[in-house]
Amino acid sequence: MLAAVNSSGKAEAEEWQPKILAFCCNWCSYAGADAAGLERRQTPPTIRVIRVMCSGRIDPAFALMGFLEGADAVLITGCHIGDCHYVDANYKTRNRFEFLKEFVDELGLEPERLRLQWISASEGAIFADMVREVTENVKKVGPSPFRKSWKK
Amino acid sequence: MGACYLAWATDEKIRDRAANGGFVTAVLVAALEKDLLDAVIVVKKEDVYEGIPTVTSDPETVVECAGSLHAAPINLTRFVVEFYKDERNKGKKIGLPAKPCDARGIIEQAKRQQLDINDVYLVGLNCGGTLHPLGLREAAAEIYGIDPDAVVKEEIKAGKLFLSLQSGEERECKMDELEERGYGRRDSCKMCTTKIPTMADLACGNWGVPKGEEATFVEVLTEKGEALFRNALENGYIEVKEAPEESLEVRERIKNAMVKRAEEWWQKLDVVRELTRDERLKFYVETLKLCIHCGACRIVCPVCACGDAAKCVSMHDERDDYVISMYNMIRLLHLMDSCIGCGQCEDVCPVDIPLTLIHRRFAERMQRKLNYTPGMSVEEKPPFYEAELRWHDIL
Amino acid sequence: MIKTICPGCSLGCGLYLEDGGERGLRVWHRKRAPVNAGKLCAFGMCLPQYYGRARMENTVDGKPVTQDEAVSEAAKRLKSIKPEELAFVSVGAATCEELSSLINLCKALGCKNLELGLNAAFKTLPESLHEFLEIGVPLASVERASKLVLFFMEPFSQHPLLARRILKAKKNGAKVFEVAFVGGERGIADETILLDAAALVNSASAEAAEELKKLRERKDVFENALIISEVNPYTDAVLLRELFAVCAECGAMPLLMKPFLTMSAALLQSALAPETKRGSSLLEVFEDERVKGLFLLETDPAGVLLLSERKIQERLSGLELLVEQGAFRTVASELATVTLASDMFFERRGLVVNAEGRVLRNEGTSTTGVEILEGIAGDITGARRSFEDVRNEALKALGLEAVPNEDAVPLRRKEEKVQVEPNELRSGATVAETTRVEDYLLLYRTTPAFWSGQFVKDFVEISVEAARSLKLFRGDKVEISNAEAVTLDFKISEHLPERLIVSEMKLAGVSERLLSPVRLRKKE
Repeated sequence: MLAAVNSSGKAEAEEWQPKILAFCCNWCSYAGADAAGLERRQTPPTIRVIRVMCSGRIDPAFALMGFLEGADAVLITGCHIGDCHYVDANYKTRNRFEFLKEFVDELGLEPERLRLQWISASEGAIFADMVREVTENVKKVGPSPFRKSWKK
Repeated sequence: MGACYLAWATDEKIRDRAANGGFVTAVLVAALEKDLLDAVIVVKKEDVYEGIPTVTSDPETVVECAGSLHAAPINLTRFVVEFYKDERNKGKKIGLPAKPCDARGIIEQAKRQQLDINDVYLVGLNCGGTLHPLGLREAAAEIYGIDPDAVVKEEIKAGKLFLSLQSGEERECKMDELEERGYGRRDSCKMCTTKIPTMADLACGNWGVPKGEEATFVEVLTEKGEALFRNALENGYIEVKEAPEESLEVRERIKNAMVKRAEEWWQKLDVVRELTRDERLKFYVETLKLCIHCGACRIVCPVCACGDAAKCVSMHDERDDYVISMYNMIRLLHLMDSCIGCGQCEDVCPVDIPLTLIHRRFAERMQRKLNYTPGMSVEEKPPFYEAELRWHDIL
Repeated sequence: MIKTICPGCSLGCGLYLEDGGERGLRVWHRKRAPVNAGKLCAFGMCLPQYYGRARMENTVDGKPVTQDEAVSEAAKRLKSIKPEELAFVSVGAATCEELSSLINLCKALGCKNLELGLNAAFKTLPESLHEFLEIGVPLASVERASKLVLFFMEPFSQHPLLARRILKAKKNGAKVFEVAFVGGERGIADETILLDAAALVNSASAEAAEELKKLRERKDVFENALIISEVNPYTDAVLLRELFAVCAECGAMPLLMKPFLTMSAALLQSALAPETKRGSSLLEVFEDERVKGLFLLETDPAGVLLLSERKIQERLSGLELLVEQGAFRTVASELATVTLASDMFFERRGLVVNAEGRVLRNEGTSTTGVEILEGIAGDITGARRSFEDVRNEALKALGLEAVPNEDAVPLRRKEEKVQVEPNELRSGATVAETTRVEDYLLLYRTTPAFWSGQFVKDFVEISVEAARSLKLFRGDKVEISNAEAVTLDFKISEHLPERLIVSEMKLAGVSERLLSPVRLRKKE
């Protein structure tokens, strides 16, 4: 995960491009991301995906570490409620996300930098839309205040 | 609400030593002597400014330790937890006088399987707040104009802090005035709204005791409380009478006034409230930057039961140069549902980070949103660990 | 539960230690402690592990014996060495009573070579300055100061319980300056006067003298300031003299922290044995060829010295006699002729003096340390003093009648301000050539963990530029070398000047000074 955030300094377009960290579950949202590619949907090159077996594995601390490493936004994605490959683990994701949301807000990071999205394996369009939307929103709020100036 | 009484010790020695008729001491002594309890945890007084928690089975020691000690701000939770970590103490019954934050800490530890709440008898004490010993010494010199070492007794009554000298002379100052001048109770106590330990087995205090009477107002809250109370009563350690309606009202009135004052304090002490989002972030970053990662706040935290396997420690790496360390991030996150606002973390912070304020900021909004108050009942699990229970209604 | 004092540095933080039997020692915060309000740094929190080290045993020539046997053997063998070939060293955490007994023993043997850890510069400083090395100012006055200068002192790592006093001063409106090779780390200083470490590697050079002139240009900073610094056995004498010169010129007051509790009580030496040699470093004693017999009291040579264990052992094994008294086994124990086992510091009854001049009571019950020393002295002189006698003598030497209240700071300096001719202290360059620094500079940051060698941060801090030029990535390791090489983890610190490396861990074999040139490579 850390490497994914660190080694991404290449997108040197004229316009500033945010770096967005996305956690995708193996069974739905990762396949959804795949689908977006297969369907040739245009998505900005802002996203770095970390595949986990289940969104229930995503400790809120992972998201926090993502921010501290310099991610401009963190996306948590998984199977729709009721579709979890592990029966009900995404209920836990949803519960923890509420903590994470409140935490990030209290801390003073813009709400635009954090999002929970349920994406099924066939929802390539939703994945692409999400990336576009978040990229647009994060561009408005600018680079993460947690990014150290010397880190590219 | 449980049954309410006015009660006092029958033993003259206990009445003399202890405050408010010595009910709490008598109940604990009775429980030890009649084998209801195996041990009690009491605070042994060194002087006005220092007390050392002691585990004892000796009724004499309990009597010696009678009386309040406002300037020894100890949370007894960790002492109870340590007691049960010793294999030999498994299954033993212990009792202790418990301020609301002691009782709430112990209940949180019970939720985390560190102890069996059925073994722990909580003789709850009403609490208006505690003072820092060094702060009290300073106040004695600066405000009361007396030698701190000459103080032999302190007492908080009717919103005033009384200091007695060896000569028998007594000086007083209004708590409000002390606090305006930067002394008085610890910040966590100023903003604490849990004044009556309704989560304990008994709730004891002097609020509602008619003037001139040396007695304790007692509310019996649980079966364990009932057992303690009956044991003392039936074996002749205490005398009781039913609390008159007026006492109940007075007690409620005092509590409400203190809660209101606490809410005002919270408004006043919460300096983050006025800040914009960016300023808030700056505040947290700059304040937490001082952290030297000694780990003391975690060790003393009465609700944390992670031990050596704590995530805040294992995910923290001194080699990282994060603007806020993972240690602080994870502690703040994990305490959002469980912080009881006891202020122990701030007491031990070597660089004086205002941890009570910061933890309250993060916890208040979450606990309000969840309609959850930690430390009130063993039945209510910490929401962070729940799959959906509480979210069902909210989402 | 024992009320004890943390032996980590000269602040003297109070705490309780509870013996939990099989479950080991437990630390409890003693909020009533006036020095630290019960707060402890990482070292204090780790005291159970510190006290969990391998214990010393009573031995003679490596064979276990009783305490009495070890004592009489120590006496016999100490007598067999000529007094001028003997040396006594205590740099660590001995109580005032133990030091008093040590001085007594030293006198009984007619030995004048006694070292309690004060910096080697002590000898060369005018006598009027000696008390400034011995006693600081009350810590409460740090909070009230209007101007503070942190002179090569990073309080958050070096003396964390001092940091809160500085923060309070800041809250009260004080201006905070720092004079350092690296600044701005926690952002508490209003201004940093950055000195070039490369210029000061050889502090006797003309380049160094030139660099230090920068300080003289900033009278506005030092005027009537309280200057906080640390003096340890390796503190650069030139910097220390410059500190005093600046104090004298600007009416500033120094508060010198020390890394060991003993160093604060070294003023006992002035009172009890003024004729002894004062302010040699243990290193000098080590290198002194004339020394054939050495008595170490509560001193771990590997802790105090920046030498590698091998070097220390080489020197120690050349001695005719090595007597070591302490609670824990050290690098010297294996080689010692006689080892004397004392109880651990928290178990002892005794007084300590902290950096501000406060007398603190360590409330254990053991007096074994004094008994051993008095036993040896008794064998030599025929007179053995009781613990009470020893305590009374120590108190008298400190100018006290009874054990003072812990809330008071009874030991004060006679002179408030430094009064010397500043230029007397600035000898100017004594060597012509400057040390060429082609690669990097390693700066030791001395924390309580640094000296004890335990719970240290086992990595070095390097600059952003260094990390870039070496193409370092997370997970890589660096190799730092001089005579020997070590491989380490690293942390990137954006505050560091390009060529500076900071280490809170001793890299024995790589550097034997607080600041020295090294090579830095990526470990392939």
